[in-house]
Amino acid sequence: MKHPRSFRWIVRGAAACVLVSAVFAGGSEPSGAEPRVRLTTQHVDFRVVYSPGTSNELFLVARDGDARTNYFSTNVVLVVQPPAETTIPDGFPELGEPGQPLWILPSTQNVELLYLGVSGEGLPAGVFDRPPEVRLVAVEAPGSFLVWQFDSTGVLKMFMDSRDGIDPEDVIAAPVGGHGHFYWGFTSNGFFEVTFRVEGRLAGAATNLLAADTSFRFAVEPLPPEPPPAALAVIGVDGAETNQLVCRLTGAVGVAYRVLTSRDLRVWDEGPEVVAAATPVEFMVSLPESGEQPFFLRAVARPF
Amino acid sequence: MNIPKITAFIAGVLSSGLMVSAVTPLASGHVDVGIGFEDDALNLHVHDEEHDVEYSPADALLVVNPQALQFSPGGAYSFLGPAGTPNWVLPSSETPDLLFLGIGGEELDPADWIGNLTLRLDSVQGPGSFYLWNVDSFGQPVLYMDSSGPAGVPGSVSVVPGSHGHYNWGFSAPGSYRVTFDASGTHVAEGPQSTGPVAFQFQVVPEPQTWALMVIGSMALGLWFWKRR
Repeated sequence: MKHPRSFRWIVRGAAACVLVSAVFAGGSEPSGAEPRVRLTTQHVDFRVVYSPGTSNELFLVARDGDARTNYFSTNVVLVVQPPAETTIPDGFPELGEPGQPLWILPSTQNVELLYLGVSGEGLPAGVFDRPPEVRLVAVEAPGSFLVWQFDSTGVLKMFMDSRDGIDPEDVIAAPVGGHGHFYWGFTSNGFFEVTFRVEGRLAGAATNLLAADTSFRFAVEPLPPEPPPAALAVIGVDGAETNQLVCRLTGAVGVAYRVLTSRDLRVWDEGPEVVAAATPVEFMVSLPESGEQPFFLRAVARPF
Repeated sequence: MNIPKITAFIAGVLSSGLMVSAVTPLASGHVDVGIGFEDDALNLHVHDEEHDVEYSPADALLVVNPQALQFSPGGAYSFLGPAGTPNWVLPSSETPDLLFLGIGGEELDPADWIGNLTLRLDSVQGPGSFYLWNVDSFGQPVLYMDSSGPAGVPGSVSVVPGSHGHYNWGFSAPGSYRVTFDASGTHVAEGPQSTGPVAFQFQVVPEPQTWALMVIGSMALGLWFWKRR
């Protein structure tokens, strides 16, 4: 046998994999993860934070202004409650076809809805040569994501619009020391994973300061029913590559499942995304290079 | 009357519109008309959010810079006059060179109040009309206050305790205004509360062309005095 050691742990891993998939397949939250805080009707801002001398000098948080608390993106879900659903009237081609549904978080407070803004409050004056920018970089969702404002006489200004592709025009400047309110539109219910990138130029600097991409989850209600769990099976090892497990997934047709891998059932790494079809879908998972530890697999439907 | 005297006269005319003694002018940045509850009494004040300074309304001058000039589009916005009518507007979104004026109940603890508070327009003294409005999700105006008021326009806004809101503040002519509000609400322990009428001072600064007219007018007046001597 060419790779006796590798083969031993592949077999062991594969056994574990099948065992675990039966227990863990499906579900919406990785086990052990803290449940996310639901922000529903609070005054919340996407706030740009500047923290010089740390490894993340610039970052984006969700600031609950009512509770005076900052949340990291992975700890919150921004809820768009059912009263946000409206129908697009005639005469707003920027927003979409008349009669189509649109969920809107408005820029003026409605006590039944999240009151969402963009803030540079807390940023020091004179440090940036212009207000840091919050850029839209990705939207993973069943619909489109729009952000706009109206001026005092109802003239619409679009700030972000995922329908025409995402480009450098999809940007909001965070006023240093200030904040602004916007209309946030969603063309569908369901989960929206919206990724922003904050960029700023320090006064006198030659290059921009970049924040790590930050994905916020919106839950646009009513949420569609959770897809049924997927079944996973390991059916063998790829003939050419001994570190490639051949797996098979059976789940709700058309639903995207994320395959997660772990060595210890605590830390889960993201594997491939697999869209279930009417017949079982085969896919490959790479085994880690080192160690003779057990290896576990599971599949979860969106949201990941 | 000699030249220095004329200059002083013009300077006097110019400054009389702008300067109010011992009053702090606030012309840019985020400022709120704030509602607070201190010493068992509801109060109205001016809160400079950027410098975290609170002023009594008598000590602050809310300045509407010339960049606020815009023209009514008519239609649904005809409360601002027929299309083309000039107005000076502090907008509800932050705009460089203009005061970003909100209405804040952030100092109030939501647990202390039954429902929302109300900020009511009491009266407006000034050379023109005062309007307070918002724009809904589809661009239609929601008029809250209108001193030139068609009957039935509510002269008030709701203020959510613990929160704040932004509005468009419009004036139909340059000059000095005293805009009087009263705030009221129901405290869980103390019962109904009201501030009574409280006057806020606004100064709508005309655009440069109007300044030029004023200067020319003053000079003509000066010349007339000088010739009469």
